[in-house]
Formats: sequence, C-alpha cells, structure tokens
Amino acid sequence: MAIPTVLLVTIIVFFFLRLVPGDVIDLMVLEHETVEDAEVLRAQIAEKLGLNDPVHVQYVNWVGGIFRGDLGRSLWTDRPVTQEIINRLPISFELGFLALLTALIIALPIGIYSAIRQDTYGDYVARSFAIASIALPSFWLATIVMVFPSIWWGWSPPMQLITFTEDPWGNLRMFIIPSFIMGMVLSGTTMRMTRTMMLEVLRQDYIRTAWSKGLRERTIVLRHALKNALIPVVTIIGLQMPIIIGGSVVLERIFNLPGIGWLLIDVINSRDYTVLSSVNLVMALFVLMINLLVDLAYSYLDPRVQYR
Amino acid sequence: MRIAAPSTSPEVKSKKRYLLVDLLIRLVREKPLGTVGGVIVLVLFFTGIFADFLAPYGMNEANLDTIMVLPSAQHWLGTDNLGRDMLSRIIYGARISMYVGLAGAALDVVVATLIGAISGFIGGKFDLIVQRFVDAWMCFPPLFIMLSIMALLGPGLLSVILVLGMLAGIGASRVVRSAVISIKSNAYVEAAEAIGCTKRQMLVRHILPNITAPIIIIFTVAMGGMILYEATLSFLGFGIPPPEPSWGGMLSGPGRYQMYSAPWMVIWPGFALAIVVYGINMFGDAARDILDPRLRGGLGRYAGAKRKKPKITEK
Repeated sequence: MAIPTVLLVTIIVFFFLRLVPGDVIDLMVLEHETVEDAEVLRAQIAEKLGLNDPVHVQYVNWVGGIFRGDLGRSLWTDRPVTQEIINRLPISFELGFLALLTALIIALPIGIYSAIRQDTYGDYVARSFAIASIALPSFWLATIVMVFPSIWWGWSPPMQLITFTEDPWGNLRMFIIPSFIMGMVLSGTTMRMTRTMMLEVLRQDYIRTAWSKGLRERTIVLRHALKNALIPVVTIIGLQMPIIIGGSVVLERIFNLPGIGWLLIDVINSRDYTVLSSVNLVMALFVLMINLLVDLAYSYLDPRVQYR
Repeated sequence: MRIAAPSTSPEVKSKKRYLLVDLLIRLVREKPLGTVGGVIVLVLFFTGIFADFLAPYGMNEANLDTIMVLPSAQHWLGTDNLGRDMLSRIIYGARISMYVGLAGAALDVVVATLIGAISGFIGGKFDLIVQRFVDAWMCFPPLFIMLSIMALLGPGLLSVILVLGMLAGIGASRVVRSAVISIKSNAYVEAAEAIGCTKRQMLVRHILPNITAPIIIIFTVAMGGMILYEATLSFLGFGIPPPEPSWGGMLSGPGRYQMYSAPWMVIWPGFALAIVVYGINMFGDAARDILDPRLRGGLGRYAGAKRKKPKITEK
C-alpha cells in the first residue's frame, strides 16, 4: 500500500507546489528585477522550471530526477537542493530525536503512575498537566524562556550553532531547551494514551492471575502490563512524527538552529519553489517511512499481529 | 405521504429541546472541567462578538506618549511598542480567534463529511482510491504544508481559514467514513434500500442524521487546533498580517525586539491563547464523552486506531 501513496505524494507536491502558475513567476520577477530585465529573467525561470514543456512531461522529468536522488537546483542560489537538505537534516533530526526522548521520559512514568493510582490527587495533577501541555503554544513557551531568564539572571540560551563534533557538550546545551519545550508539548497526548491503555490492560484477567500468584506490583506493572499497553502508544508516537517535524519550524526559528524548518521559512520568503516543493516531498516521504516502521514495530510488540 | 407531515408538531419539538437541556444538565453534573471549558468558550464568543463595546481603546489606536507603559489603572495590561493598549488588542484578538475557530472548524466538518460520507457510502474501488489520497495528504507535516500553501495564497484571514479547514477536513474525513461504514450495515439502511429509496435518500435521510455525534465531536475538537495553528502561522508571519491583532502575531514582528524591556507584551497573548485552547479542549472532551460513550478514552484514539489497523490473523 505504500507505493501508490508515494506516487500520490509526488502528484500532490507537483500540482500544489511545483506547478507554479505563471502569475506567481511574474510576481517573483517584479520583486527582483527592473522592468527591462524582467522579460529575460521570466524566460530564464520558465526554462529552469521546465514550464515550456507539457504538464505530463514536466511531471515525468521531475519524478525521474527524484528517483535518481536529484531534486533539481535552487532557483536563486543554483545550489543542488539535495545537498542543501542533507546539510540541514542532522540538526532537525537531533532536535526531533531529543524531543521525542524528552516526551517519553516525561509521559511514560507519569502515565503509568496516573493509571496505577487512578483517581488520587497525583492522578489529577498529572492529568491536568497533560491537558495543559496540549494547550500551551510552543512558540509562546519558547519566547518566555528567552525573555525571563535573561531579565532575571542575565542568562540567555546560546544562539550560535555549535556542531556536535566540535563540542559535544556545548551542542547538547544548545539543543536541550528547544527539545525540552517540544517534548513537553508532545508528552500530553502520549501521557493520556499511556494512562488509558494501562487502565484497560490492568483490568484484564491475566493481571489478576499475576496478582494472585503473589507477584510484586513492580513486576506486574512493568513486565506484564506495560508491554501490552504500549502497543497503541507506539501508534501515537508514529502519528506525532508530522507534528514533531512541523514543530521544528517554530523552535528552529526562535532558537536559531539552521535545520529543515529554518530552510522552509527561508525558501518561502525568497519564493524558491524548487526547494520548497522538494522540502515538502522529502518530509512527506520521511513520515511515510516512519509509519511503515511503526507498523513493523507492532509485530514485535504483539506477536499476534502478522502481515500477509 | 401525509403521515410524515406531523414530524414538526410541537410535541416532537419539545422532546428535542428536552434532549438538549438533558445534555446540558449531564455536562454540568458529570463533567465539572468540561463545564468550565464551556464557560471559557462562551466568554471567548462574548468577547469576540462585543469586542467593540468591551475594548477601552481602539485596536490600532497608537499613542506615542504611552509607549510600553507598565500595567496600570489606565492600561490594565500595559501598552505595546506603539503605545497601543494591550487589553484592547487581546479583546480584538479574541474576535479573530473566534472567526478562525468557528469558520475553520465549520469548513473542516463540511470537507470531512463530503469526503468521508461519499467515500464510505460508495465503498469499493472508489473508496480505495480516495483513501490512498487521504493517506498521501496525511503524510505531509501539517505546519510545512500549511506554510507552503499560505505562501502561494498570500496571508489573510480568508486564506488561513481555507487552508486550516481544508487540511483538517481531509484528515477528519476518516472518522466520518468509519462512522458511515458502521451505520451502512444496519438493518434499517437495508430496509430503506428494500423499499426503494434512492442512494441519495439513503445517504441524506438515513445515514447523515446518524453521524451527528461524530460530526459535533470533530467540530469541537478541531476548534482548539485551528486557533493554535492560526496563532502559529501568524507568529511565523504567514497568517493574519499586522496590524490586525492576532494573538500569535502579537508575539512576532517588531514588538519582538522590545520584549526584553516590556515582557508583558509577550505574556498576555500567549496566556489568552493557552486558556482558550485549554477550555475548548476540556469542553470537547466532555462533549465527546457525553455524546458518544464508545469514544471514551485517550485523545484521538478513535481516529488513531482507525488510521492504521493491522490485520490480526484469527486462529
């Protein structure tokens, strides 16, 4: 089922973003050149985008390029788009990975606690935190983190990119705040899901059997209940992948991390439609791949699930 | 078909009203947090509708004598870098959030119902093809595709509503589709077909009225997300253009450089946003529990489980 979806993804990108209407080019030209040069530039851009070919030829050429790993060249800087994206991927990956890790570190223990101590005050506090974290806008949290420590203690997060190979500790210090904010916003959904599934599993017969065997609570919760409760939680993590990638736009912008999200805003501002369509395409294919991996993780977590 | 006419008699009407009152009573009794959420939503609507009367100053009334004053008796929440009253701008911002929330969620529901109901009702190959399209759309990180399309459409309230509503509608169509499929197999739909109802009659008279609960749920759940996404888009500079006082936009732009000397400028808009989205989410959760007990459970569990359902082999 993945292959038709890949084709449809390319079609969507092509028709919505790549197949730029002529008047958009006029707008680009007007923004950048004087009237005399405009005609020449317009022809150049049309040539570069292959706009003079029929639509289906354009599409086939473009998709053919994708399968060879060639996403074309930037309209303005003429640098290969593939290289541009590869350069920025590690930054976004690091941010997303740390955010996911933070989300799980917050969500799983609290979710489990809140399920095994259902309807206690601890449970209420945890649930209120989960719902509040879903409502908090990440750009606001990030702004608050930028403003208040700097007013109170004269401290502000590092704004110059430090690569991991240069200084691993400095690099981590730079990523920890944005990924913590993103992780906090993500953790709410995962926490609620963990709690609901744990509650469901803890009422099953085999858990009662485990209790009557005289097992310790910790063994029952961690070894018997958790693995089964985690199956739907894995889906939620898969479903959150697009949100993580999207969230990177906001946090990379605020914390000055030159990742994919930063690139997106850059190319939107410069109306670089070749890069814009490629960034969307690459991210959509990435999400598709993660969804496939999540499906595969099912059969590990739940041996009853088999793929025919 | 004269017998069908009395369906608008006062008796039935009072029964319907009774149902609504009954739902409200259940909301207040069983869901205290949901009630609080509902009150917050009502306050948002009230503020949005009567913004002109509530706001002490105009939304763009700049006053160079009162630039970045601390919260005081004249300016309860202080003023911004152009001397505009923050409270008034927050109040007018509520109107924008209300527009985006209501119109976006309404468009969401229309798109979701159109795609979901038709795809689920027709079924077969048509359904398969439409669902692959929905799959493909769901792959795009929402903020990426929103920003990209906003860049093509240009900023503005209308394009924000269009983009948010359409994209959310495509995703939500799955919930409608699965509801339609489960209703389609009921005996009364078969009976309707047996007595010679046309396809359209079956869909409009027998299936659509029965998916009201999921549709109301989609609407309430979507509203919070719409408001949050509008704020994010405006914050990044691609949503509602300044000087319109969007809560997200108030955190960006030239005011951002002054936030260190006037931190109240960034506190209030985010605070308003968080409270409103919290209220809508609480209300949406409560509405979901009351309207459709089958959906009780984790956030998005219904939609999530339907999205990728692995085949479990029976032994």
